[in-house]
Amino acid sequence: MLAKEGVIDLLNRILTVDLTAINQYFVHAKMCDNWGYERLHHQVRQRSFDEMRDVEALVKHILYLESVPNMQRLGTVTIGETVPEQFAADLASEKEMLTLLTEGVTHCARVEDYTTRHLLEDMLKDVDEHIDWIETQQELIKQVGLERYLSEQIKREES
Amino acid sequence: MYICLCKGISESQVRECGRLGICSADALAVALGIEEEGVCGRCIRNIDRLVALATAALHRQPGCDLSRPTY
Repeated sequence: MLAKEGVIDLLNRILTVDLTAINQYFVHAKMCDNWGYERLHHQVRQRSFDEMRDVEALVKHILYLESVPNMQRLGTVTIGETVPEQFAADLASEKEMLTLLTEGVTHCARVEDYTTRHLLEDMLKDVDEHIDWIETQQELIKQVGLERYLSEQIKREES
Repeated sequence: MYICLCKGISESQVRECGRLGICSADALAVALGIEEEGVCGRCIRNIDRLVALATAALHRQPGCDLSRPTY
């Protein structure tokens, strides 16, 4: 099925941000691993895999709409040197996704592509959850202090 | 924040250049080695941010938000 106007461009822009996020979150996770923050390593690594899942859904949908998923273009992978910097960089990425997805939902409604709109709305929910998680960590750091927060990240909780 | 992943350059190195008076795009590129062979060219594309950071450091200002996404 051919896409309505502007939908492919939008999906590929979201794809670019998600592909960038895969790399960014993965390096952040492994840096946490290297520093000994097992809990953070586990959680941030999962965020990278969540983005891979989103990329899969986007690639599948773009192909269904008989177009080409742009797996070549990448945004700037922003890597923090400390855990707080990493949170700032990842939050900025998620907020960019939020803006793009919101724009996408509005556009899809306007051109009456409700399938794509539904896909993007589902992604929006995950973005909100991730933003919530990062902002919670930042608030914790503010309230208990960075060192106390980081000492809680050393031991992974029993699953 | 890292500003160049090809060369592993962090913003503190950019600020150090700024404090030494190295603030122009060309001078910064040479001093940081971000135009050498094998680099991807991404940070050079965003050289204006590095110039802003170096200039801010020279004038002892905080500088720009490097967490903001670029392309």
